Amino acid sequence: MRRTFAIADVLPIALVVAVCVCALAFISAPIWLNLTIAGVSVGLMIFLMASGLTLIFGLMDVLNFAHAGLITLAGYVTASVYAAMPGWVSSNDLSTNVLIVLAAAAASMLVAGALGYVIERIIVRPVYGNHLKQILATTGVLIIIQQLAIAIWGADLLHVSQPTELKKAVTFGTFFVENYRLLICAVGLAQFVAMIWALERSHLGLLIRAAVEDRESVESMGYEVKYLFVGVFAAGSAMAGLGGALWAIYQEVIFPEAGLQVMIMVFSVIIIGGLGSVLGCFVASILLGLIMNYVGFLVPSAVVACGFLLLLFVLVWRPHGFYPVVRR
Amino acid sequence: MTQELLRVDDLHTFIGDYHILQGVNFDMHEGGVAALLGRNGAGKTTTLRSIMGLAPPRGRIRFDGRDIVGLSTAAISRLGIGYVPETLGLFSGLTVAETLRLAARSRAPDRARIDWITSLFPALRKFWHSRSGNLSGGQKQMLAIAKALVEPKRLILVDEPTKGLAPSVVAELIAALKQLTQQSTSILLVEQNFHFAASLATETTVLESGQTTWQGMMGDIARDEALRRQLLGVSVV
Ligand SMILES: Nc1ncnc2c1ncn2[C@@H]1O[C@H](COP(=O)(O)OP(=O)(O)OP(=O)(O)O)[C@@H](O)[C@H]1O
Ligand SMILES: [Mg+2]
Repeated sequence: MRRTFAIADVLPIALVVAVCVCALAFISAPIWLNLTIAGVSVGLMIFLMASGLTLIFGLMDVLNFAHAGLITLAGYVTASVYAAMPGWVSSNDLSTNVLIVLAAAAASMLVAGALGYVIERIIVRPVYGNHLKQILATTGVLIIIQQLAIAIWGADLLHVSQPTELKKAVTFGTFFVENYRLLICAVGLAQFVAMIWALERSHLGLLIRAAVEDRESVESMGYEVKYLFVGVFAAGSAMAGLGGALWAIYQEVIFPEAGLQVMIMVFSVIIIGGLGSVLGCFVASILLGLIMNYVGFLVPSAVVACGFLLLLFVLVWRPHGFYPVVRR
Repeated sequence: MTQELLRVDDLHTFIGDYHILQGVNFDMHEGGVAALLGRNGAGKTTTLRSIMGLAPPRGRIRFDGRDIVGLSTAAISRLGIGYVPETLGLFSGLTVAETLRLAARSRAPDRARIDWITSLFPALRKFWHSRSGNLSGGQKQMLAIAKALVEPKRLILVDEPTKGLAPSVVAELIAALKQLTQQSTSILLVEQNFHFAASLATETTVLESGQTTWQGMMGDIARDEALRRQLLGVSVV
């Protein structure tokens, strides 16, 4: 999977830098610095929600709308973990605060991963290669998860606050960053490194691409594709769980359509990044996070539009996205 | 002769509601080349797919003394059977190097074995970093065979390897496959090009409408034009 170094590979990163520099022309330096750091953390938050779908949609070519349901479900699991350990959120001890977030994330990954396993076995396995059936079947799963969430947790907004110490910010003069954003950055970067490592080192990415193109041929080489696909699907679902848990805490609220609301962002960064590319998804997420933060400061009403404009611009510039691993 | 490697016994294969194979029988010995002949639609490809478990069969298939009916395709492959389908089974976006690394099921495939394979098919070395989708027809065929061989195999099933190849490339292929049998890999060859089959195979099975109609030595059918005409039709020279 080694690629030869090319100018074209640097351009997307140059674009991120250019956006930052441009913003500096409109925003005073101290505010710009805070917006930039916040934008990177939002970007990593988006990456955490999107990275699982990079595997499932980008590499395995399954249009999986159930991903939104798993993000929502993770938020509710987080609310339940919070309810089970109330003192941990309000505690003034940082490590206790971090532990409750990690516990919520772990529980969400477990639930989402297990559900992903079941979804693949029952819903997705018969519809590989058929986008229309995938959309219908996985949207059905999404609706079921939403209704189930309403039945269990109710239709009202649930509060999922950021733990006390994580809400506080580190400050250096005029520069400040909340601890929770730092936590997101750390988890996001760890996830990025782990995925690059797993896909490059074990040639998993290569294998998945090959199996999507010609499954029988990969089986004839001695690989059990059935287990490969269900494993990747469960892993991607668990990642949705991680992203969903951290997102709910970031937003401090969870409601039945929460996952659906972020799906446009999630699909956008996968397409902008190039199908199947973890690096592309990562760069695109940060770019979107930065732009959303800058635009949100300058012209708050334009935030929603700027995501679409970015998608449009990138697709005209590079129809296959930044670093396409798969071209469809 | 040497030991029996593959025995196919009363094989029946259904595709959907169609009863495609209706009693295929043959056996082949270790270290040889066996040809599977027959007119278009006789069931040759389906027989190979049945052996690989890609078209689940009824009946018995013994490979190296072991019943392989019901095993997964991957498990059958791991027992030491390679498959080169008519459609080649390549991955258009993957380079030659990536394809072989994947087929070797190891991040660092055995150097000596790669060297041996590229000595069989020098073109592969030359286009090492080209995407397989960009290779010529002949190069694709060689990559497809190489892919089936990177992991050492007891037997490879090859479906019409000469289709669309220039005569000089066919000669290259004959040389490579001959070398292969000297390395103790047996070959089950499906072929329309009778001369090609005759120059490699010793044992021969003829299929017609999903059934074995003749089994014997290649020499017998090569020498007897009337028999050949009766079994394979006039279209086969
Ligand atoms: N998927 C399928 N659905 C229905 N019939 C099929 C299918 N695959 C093969 N057949 C039928 O099974 C019979 C045997 O096909 P097969 O491909 O095994 O023949 P073959 O001997 O390889 O022919 P050829 O020399 O043309 O490659 C043919 O009559 C074919 O029409
Ligand atoms: Mg055929």
